[in-house]
Amino acid sequence: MSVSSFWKFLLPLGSLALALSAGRSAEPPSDVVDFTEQYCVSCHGPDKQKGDFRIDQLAWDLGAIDSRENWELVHDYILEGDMPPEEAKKHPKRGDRQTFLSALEEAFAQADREAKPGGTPLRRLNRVEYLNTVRDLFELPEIKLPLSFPEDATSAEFDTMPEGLYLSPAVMEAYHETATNIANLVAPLPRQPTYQASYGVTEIGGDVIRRWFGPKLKKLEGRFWDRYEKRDYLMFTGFNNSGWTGALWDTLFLAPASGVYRVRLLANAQADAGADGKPLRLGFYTFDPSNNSLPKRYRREWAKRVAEVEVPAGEPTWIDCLVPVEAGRTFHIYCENRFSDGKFPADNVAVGKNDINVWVRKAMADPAPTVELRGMEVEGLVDVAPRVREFFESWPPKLSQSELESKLIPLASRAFRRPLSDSEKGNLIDAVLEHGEEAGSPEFAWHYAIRRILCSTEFLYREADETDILDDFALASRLSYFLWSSMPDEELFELAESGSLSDPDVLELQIQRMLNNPKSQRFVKHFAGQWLGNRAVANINVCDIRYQWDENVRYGFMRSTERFFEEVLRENLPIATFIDSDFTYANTAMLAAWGVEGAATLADVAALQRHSQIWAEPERFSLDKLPAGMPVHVRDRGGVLGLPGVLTETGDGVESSPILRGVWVLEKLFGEHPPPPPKDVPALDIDTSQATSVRETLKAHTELETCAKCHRDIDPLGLALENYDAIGGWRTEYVGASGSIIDATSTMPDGTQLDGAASIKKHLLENREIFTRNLLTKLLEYGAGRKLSVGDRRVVDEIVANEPSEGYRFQDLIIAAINSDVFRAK
Amino acid sequence: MKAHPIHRRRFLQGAVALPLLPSLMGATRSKSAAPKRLVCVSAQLGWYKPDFFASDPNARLIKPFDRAGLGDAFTTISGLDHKGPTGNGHALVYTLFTGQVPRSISLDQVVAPRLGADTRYESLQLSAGELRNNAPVSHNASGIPLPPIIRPSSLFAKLFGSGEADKQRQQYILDSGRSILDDVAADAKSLGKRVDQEDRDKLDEYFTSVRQVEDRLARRRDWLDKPFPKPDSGFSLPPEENVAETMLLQNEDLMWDLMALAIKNDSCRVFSLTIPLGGAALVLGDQLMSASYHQFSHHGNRKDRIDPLVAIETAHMTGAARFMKALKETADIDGSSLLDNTTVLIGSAMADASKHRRVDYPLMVAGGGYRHQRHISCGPDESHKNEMACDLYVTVLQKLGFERESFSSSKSNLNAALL
Repeated sequence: MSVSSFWKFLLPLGSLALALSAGRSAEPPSDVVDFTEQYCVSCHGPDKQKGDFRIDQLAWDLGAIDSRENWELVHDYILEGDMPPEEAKKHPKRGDRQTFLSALEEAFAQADREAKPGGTPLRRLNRVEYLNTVRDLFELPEIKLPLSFPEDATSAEFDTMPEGLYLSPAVMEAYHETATNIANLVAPLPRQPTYQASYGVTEIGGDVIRRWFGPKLKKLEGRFWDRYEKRDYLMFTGFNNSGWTGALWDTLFLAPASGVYRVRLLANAQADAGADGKPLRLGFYTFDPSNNSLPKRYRREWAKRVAEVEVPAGEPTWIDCLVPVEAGRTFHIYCENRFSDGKFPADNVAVGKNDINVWVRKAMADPAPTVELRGMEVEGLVDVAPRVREFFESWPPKLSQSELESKLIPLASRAFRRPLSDSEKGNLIDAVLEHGEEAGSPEFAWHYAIRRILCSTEFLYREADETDILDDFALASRLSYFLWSSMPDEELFELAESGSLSDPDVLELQIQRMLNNPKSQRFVKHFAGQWLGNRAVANINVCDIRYQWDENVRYGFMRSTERFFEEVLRENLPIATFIDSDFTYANTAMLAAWGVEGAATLADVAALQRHSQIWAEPERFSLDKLPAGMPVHVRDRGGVLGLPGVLTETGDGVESSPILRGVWVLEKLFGEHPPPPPKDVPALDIDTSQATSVRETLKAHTELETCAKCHRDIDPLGLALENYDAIGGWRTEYVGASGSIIDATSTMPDGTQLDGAASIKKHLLENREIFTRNLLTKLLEYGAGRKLSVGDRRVVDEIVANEPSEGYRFQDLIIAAINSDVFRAK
Repeated sequence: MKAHPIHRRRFLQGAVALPLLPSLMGATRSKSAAPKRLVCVSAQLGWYKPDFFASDPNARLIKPFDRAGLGDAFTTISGLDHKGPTGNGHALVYTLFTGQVPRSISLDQVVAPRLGADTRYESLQLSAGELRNNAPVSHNASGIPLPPIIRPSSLFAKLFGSGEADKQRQQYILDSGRSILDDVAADAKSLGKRVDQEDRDKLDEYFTSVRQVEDRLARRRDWLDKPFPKPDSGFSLPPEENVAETMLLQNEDLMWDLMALAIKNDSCRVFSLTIPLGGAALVLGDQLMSASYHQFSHHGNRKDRIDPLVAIETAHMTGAARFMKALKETADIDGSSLLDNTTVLIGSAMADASKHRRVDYPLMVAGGGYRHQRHISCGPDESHKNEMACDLYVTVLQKLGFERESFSSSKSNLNAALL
């Protein structure tokens, strides 16, 4: 049943329903019908549907945003004289036109008066939210999604909006699989897989190390190799900086299940003490081998230290060590005190461009005593992971009504982001007890409980309950997913519990606390990532023959957008900073691509990145005091229109597209959404390398009525940015045979003359309510998870109208958004 | 203390001409026509083309096929590619079987739902080691890369079962999974009462999906109850598994051999095998090579680099030839050979790794009952005017029984040359 038929059903029930449904009567007023029948229906009716548009069946429900937008489009076409087209047989008299427009405007105003804010449809957690939530819920950052976990569709402007959050069987299957994986971690079933193996020196020294130690591989040449390959034992280098050179024990072992493994080493120390005067010591570090490419994943700072063992000097002896390893992970061993701190570089940056092997050889040639290793055995599982024992206090876990009330119900309540009702509690506990009974062991009961919680609608859908204004728990949830892309933390839950979260003062303090928490990095990543195009930049294929391009440039583009956004957020700068600023960010690869004098080449940057395994972070540049050698165009890169990531998103990696750029500026900065081109109009094929044709080709738009209405707005904005190539580099002429000089002048429909990016910024700064409305709308759409309704638009109008004379600052606008009825209505 | 020997080749010598056991044929036993199969193989570092195309009688990469008596069972094809961007380094190698539109479905996944409907696994994705850049051959309908199996022991467990304890655990997960889905669907009715009609419609997605997942779990449960086939007596995994990049060729050998077994016991009919970009020096035979696979691939036309590169690629092709020979020597249910009904595609979208060029892919189609002719040249000036690699895939699709006239950006085919 659709909404409107639902209302019709209620109609006879009373005058209240009648009043509410006034804006929903299916028929437009006669002034509107008369006009459309006379002037529109012959081309947009049962016989013809020019431009894919049919007016006689257009829903008349002006309180609903989709219907409203269609009629607003009709209004604007008639007002601006784009319809009926010149060649039409009949043209309305001025009076007819005015009657029609007035009738429409009056109906719009009436609908506005009646519309209420709110109306977010049911939405499930998106991929990012789901992962963050399960990690926070179980305090297990190790949780990963299976690689087959489907991506969300990108059919809406933001991935928090229900349009892209279809719950397909593939998604449900992934939910069930992930829930099972998590249950395996939290409450492992009895009879876990076992592992038992014993290894000699050759097997242990796999991969890179094999090259240095493998006794049977004779191909190695030179003095250095000869010295080492004759040994029948391995020596720990003690050079721990970059894992892969100090590590032993490679790709043989992968923990089949989470828990404790017994590792036995046949080893001896070459002396009684290491550099710190204590016995030589080996540390065990676990890591996820599927996380990173080979050299990178061995970095010790990304591994987790889980155990250590002291090695006595003298004859080799078997040494036992209990090592907890999570499923799918493996471990490395390092000698931790062969050298004193500082003797070798402590991190990869310090290693710098020097081949890391130089340091390794130094470490190996050093006379300092180390640990020798002759064999290793691994056996498991010998116990469940320590965190399992910690959570349940004993293992197997206790299973009773009271135990479930004290351990399971709080977990379920956090998972549902609200307290459970008594009947929900009862149902869950009964089912879990019954399952434990049937399966015959308490582990099964807990395993079942966790999977059941994680597959339930209460966990997967958020802020679902039908209500006008969100209650405090739903508010905590909406707020937390807005700024943290995850479930509320303990403090938010407590405030919701006490009912004080909805107090505007409390809420404001919470928003500031949340923005200061590192988790707000996710807001930067996901909101800015979608608003300013980083998600697109992450996947675009740029032609690396035409452009200075590699992954370091891509990284610089994405991070400079994030860093820029983050500065405006953290410093609570005026939102006008997004339009223009006196600073920007760039990394060394971007400087190389821009041809900055004295900058490292792309190859240099890439070499440094390869050795250090660390991407070059963008640094901040004050545009009014740029260092010498910086090209002039950098000076004009203030605001988001100067960010090359933004300019790259609108191209295809080969050519810039003035149309896509124009649409981007309209949608992302002006907040207007030109409809997609009708299906019956062929797309213009623009090849900017044949430059003479760019303007000529676009001219076709203004000559065709179908195109003109929208392209009058789109094309001038795109043309004004033509000095930027497909990756946002500066150009003054087109490449290709013609090589013609670029002309970045154009005229907007209201007569504003544009010339380059600066003129667009100027226009936006002079008409600041355009950008304020746009940014506020984007924040609310992302946070509240819906395309703004007719009632929402009125609230937005008020906030825009209340803009202080010095303009909104970014955090203040976020607070205003959250405190508004748009955010707080269901 | 010695390197463990890797002599998996023996098992196939012992298994020559082994007839396909009807009991292993599962659901297809009653059907008279032999099932169709597809194997898609991509080497991420490309193939050295002067030795790849059989137009040169001395092409070194062809020799393993001739030696295995497969001289009439393949066709190499020159002149085809995706007509996409030509640069991009390694970034686009994964598009070999998807066509030039990045992140779209790969050929193997197009055929998997139908060809794989009656087998334990609809399709299997394998890699001879870890992948960089998340760039495996197979992509699902949403263009999501499907993670390949990189451990021979994992593939072995999938094909032959992984013991009684593991089976019981899986049975429990599947059975309890179905009852959990029943329970949460019942719980969801309470949410249905707390939301408006529009959201109730949206909630239908949940009920529908839950029901479908229950069906899928039931199907997996059925297969779990069916006994796994026994591995060939001649085959065993090495005592310790090492999936280090160094061991790429050894693991690849195991993948080829396990894939032959999987086809022989009809566990699966659609495969992809990715031969990853090797950043480490490989062990070839029992020798560690002097530079990494990747370094050799940037050979700069120097003989001292081309020769080791071709030696590595010859090892890949030796595995392929051994695999195909095993299929050729095994009878299918209709009396033809398994190879006659198995289309093997081998190629790379890295057409010239030394220059990172992506023009004129090395492509080979083998087995599958095509009209093989060792080599055909395509291109505007050749006897076959085709230019799109996907033209070949249209022909493959038709040969596999799909009524398709196009694939990705291709609307043509190579039927005249190959059928």
